[in-house]
Amino acid sequence: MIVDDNEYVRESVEILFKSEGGCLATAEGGKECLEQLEAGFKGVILMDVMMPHMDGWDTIREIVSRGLYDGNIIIMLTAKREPDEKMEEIQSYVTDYLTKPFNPTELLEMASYYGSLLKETPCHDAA
Amino acid sequence: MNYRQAHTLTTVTNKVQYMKTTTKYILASSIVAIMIVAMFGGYFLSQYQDYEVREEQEKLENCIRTFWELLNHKGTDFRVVNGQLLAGAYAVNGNFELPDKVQDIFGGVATVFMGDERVSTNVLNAEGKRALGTRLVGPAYEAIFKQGRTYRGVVNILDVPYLTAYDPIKNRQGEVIGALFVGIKESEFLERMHDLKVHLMMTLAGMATFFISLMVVLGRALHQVEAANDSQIRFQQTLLNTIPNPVFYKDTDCRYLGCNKAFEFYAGISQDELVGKTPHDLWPEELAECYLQHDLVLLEKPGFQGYEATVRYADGSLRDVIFNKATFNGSDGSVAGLVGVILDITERKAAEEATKNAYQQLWEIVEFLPDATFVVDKEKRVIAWNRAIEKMTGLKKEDVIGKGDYVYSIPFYGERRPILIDLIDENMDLIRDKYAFITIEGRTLFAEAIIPNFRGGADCCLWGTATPLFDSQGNQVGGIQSIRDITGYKQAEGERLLLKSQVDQNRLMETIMVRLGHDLKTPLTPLFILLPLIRKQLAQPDLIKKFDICIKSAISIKNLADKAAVLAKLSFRIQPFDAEDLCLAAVVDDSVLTCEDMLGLKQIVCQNCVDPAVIVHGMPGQLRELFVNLISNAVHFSNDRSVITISAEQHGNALWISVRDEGVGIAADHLEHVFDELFKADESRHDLETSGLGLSICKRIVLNHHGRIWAESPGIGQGTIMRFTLPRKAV
Repeated sequence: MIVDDNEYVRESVEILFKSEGGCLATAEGGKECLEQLEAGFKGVILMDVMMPHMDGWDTIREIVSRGLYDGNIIIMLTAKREPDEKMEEIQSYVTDYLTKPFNPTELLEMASYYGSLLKETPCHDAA
Repeated sequence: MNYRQAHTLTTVTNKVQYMKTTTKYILASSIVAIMIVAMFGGYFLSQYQDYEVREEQEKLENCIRTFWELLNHKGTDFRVVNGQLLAGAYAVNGNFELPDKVQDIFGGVATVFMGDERVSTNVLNAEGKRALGTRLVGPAYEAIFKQGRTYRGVVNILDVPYLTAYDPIKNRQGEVIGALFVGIKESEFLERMHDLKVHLMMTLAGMATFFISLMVVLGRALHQVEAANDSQIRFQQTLLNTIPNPVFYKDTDCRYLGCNKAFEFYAGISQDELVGKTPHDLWPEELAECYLQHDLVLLEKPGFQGYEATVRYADGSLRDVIFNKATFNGSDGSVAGLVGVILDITERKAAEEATKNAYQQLWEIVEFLPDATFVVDKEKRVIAWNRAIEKMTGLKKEDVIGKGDYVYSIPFYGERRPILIDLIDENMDLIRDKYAFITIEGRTLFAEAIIPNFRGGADCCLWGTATPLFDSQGNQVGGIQSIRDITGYKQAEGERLLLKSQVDQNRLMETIMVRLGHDLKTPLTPLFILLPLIRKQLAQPDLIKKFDICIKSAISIKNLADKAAVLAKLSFRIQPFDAEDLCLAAVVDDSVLTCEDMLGLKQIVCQNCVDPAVIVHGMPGQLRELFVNLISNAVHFSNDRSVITISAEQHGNALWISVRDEGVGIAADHLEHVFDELFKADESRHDLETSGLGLSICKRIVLNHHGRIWAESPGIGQGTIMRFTLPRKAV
C-alpha cells in the first residue's frame, strides 16, 4: 500500500507495480490508510512523511495504538535524507527508508524483498 | 605632700600653696609679735622695777637720813652706858619716839640697834608686839659689825623680806656700838611688781590664745582645701590617664614632673621612676637632643609650641608624632614649667601616604585610559589631562593643568565656552538642542556632538560622558569627562548595517532555494518512476533520443534539489561545532574514492599530495563533502586524461589547501563570483549536469570552519586552483 497525498506519486507507483505484475493499494492520507488496515489489509506500507492533516509519523503512532501494526512492514518515503530525531520512539516501527525521488528498480526490489518476508502478499484492488 | 603633688599644675594647688604660706607667715609673725610684746613687757617691767628700786632706795636713804637727823638732833655723842644706848643725853632704849616718827613720815619700819640688839623698834613680832631684844643676823650684821660699813639689801626680818638700810652707829672712838635700820616691806613692792607681771602675762596669754585660735581656724580651712585639693589631684590624674595620648610635664630645667598612663606605656617606665629625669636619661641621644632643644626654645619664648618629630616607644617601634607643648606659670606668674601632649600620627601618615598612593594610582589609571579624559576640580580648573586627550586635541598637559575658564573647550570649539562637563545638573530641556544626542542617567550625562572641521580636518563625531566627582563625604569636588571619537565607528556601523542587509538577502535566497529543492522532490518522483517505463515502450530512435534528454533533465533537477538540500543543511542546521582532529590526507583519500567513478569516466588522475602528518580540526562529513564537490567541479571542467592535484601547505598560521586542475580555467573577472549561488561562469558551463550550487556549498563549509576560500586561475584554458584555509587547532 502506498500512502501519499500526491495523486501523481500514488498513480505512478501503482502503474509501476502493475507493470511488474504486482498489486498495490493506495491511500491519500493517514485516515484512509487506517481504514484499510481496519478492513484487514496486511503487507508492505510505503508511507510518505509529509502529508496534510495527519503526517506519516502520526499515522504510524495511530496504527500502533490501534493494534494494527502486526503483520505489516512500514517503509518511510522521505524528501529529507535523515529521519527526524524527535520521532525516535516510532522509528522502531519503521523497517526501512526510501528517499524521494526514488529509483523505480530500488523500490521494486525493496517491496518484493519485504513482501517475501511477509510470505504472502494479499492483493487488494483499490479500484 | 610629696614632690610631685607639690608641683601639680592647678590653680587650686597654687591656692593651697598660697594659703599655706600665709598660714606660716601668720604663725611666724604671731610668734614674733608675742615675743616682741613679751620682750618689751619684760624690759619695761625691769625698767620699772629698777626705777621703783631706785625710788625705794632713795626713799630708804631719805628715810635713814631723816632717822639720823632725828637722832642727831637728840644728840651726837653716842655711847653705851649701863646697858643703855645714849645719844647725848637721850636714852634710846625703850623709847619709840624716833622709829615711830620715821614710820609716820615714810611708812615701813625703823629700828635702833644697841650692839646687835633691837632696843627701839616698830618691827612687830608674830604676836603683833614690838620685837625688842631680838638680834640682827645675816649679811647686815656681817657688814656692820665685822666690816664697819653700811648695808643695803633685802633682808628677812622676822621671816618677812624687807628692803633695808643699815648704818653703823659709832662712838667717839669710831667703834661700832649699834646700828640704825630702816626698812620697807619688800612684799608690798613685789606685790605691785607681780600685779604688773600678771597683767603682762595675761596680755601675752590673750595674744597667744588669739593667735592659736587663728591658727586652728586657718589649719582647718587649710585641711579642707587640702582634702579638696587631693580629690582634685586624683581627678586630674584620672583625667590625664584617660587621655589616650601621652601627656607629660616638666619643670624649667626640663626635668619630668609627671605624666599620664599613656606616657608610661610609651616610655616604658612608671611615673614615679620618671619624675626628676631629663630627656637624655630616657631617650636615644639624637631624639633627646631634639626634644630638649624644643623645650629650651619654648621656655625661652613661653607660650605654645607644636612640631612633628619621631619618638621611639618602649617596644622599640619608631612612631611619627606631633608634639604640642605649652608653658605654664607658677603662682608668682613666672614660667614654672611646660606641659606636652604627644599625638601619634603614624597611622594618619600611613593613611595619607596610602591616599597619596591611591591618588597616584588613580591619576595613572586616568592617564592610561584609552578614552580621552580630563578631570576638573570644583572651580572647573583642570587637574588631570590624559595621554589620549593630548593625542586627540594636540594640547599638552602643561598647557592645561591648573587652568580654568573653559580652557578645555578651545580644542573642540575654538573658543572658551561651557561643554558637557559644565552642563551636569543643568536643565536638560535647555541643553538638548545643542547636541545631536544627549541623555542623562543619574547625574551622568551622555552626549553625541558633531564637531565641524575638527582640528582643521574633517567633521568629527564625538561621544562624551561627563559625571560629577564626589569625596567620601559625598561633597561634589569636581567632574570627569571622557570623549571618544566615534566617527570611524559611525561609518563602520553604517557599513555593518549594509552588510547585514546583504547577509539577510543571502539568507532569504538560501531559504527559497532550500524550499524549492525540497518541494521539487515530490513531483520528481512520478517522473523518475514513469520515464523509464515509458522509455521501454518507445521504439522510434528519434523519440528515444528526445526522451533521454527529458530523463537527463529530470536527473539534473534532482541533482539541483539534492545540492539545495545539502546547502540547507549546512546553512540552517548548524549544530554544535562537533569538530575533531582529523588526518587531512585520509579525508582526501576518502573523497577521491567517492569520486572514483567520475574520475574513471574521464581517465583523470587525482593525486593526493597532502602530508599524512597534517592534522586539521574540522567536521569529517562536511570536509568530505567539500572535497567531493571540489573534485567533482575539477573533473567537470577538466579534459580527459588530465591530472588533478590536491595539496596542503603551511602559510603563516593558516593551512592552505588547494585543488588544482588543468582544465578550462576561469576568467579573471569571474574569479570572485564562482562561489555565488547558482552562478555559472560562462556559456560552456551551462551544462545540465551541474547545479551551480557546488561551490556555494564549498564556501559554506569553509565558513563553517572559520576559513576562507577563493579561486585562482592564470586565465581561460590554463587550469584552476581552488584554494581554502582550515584551522589546525580547535577553533
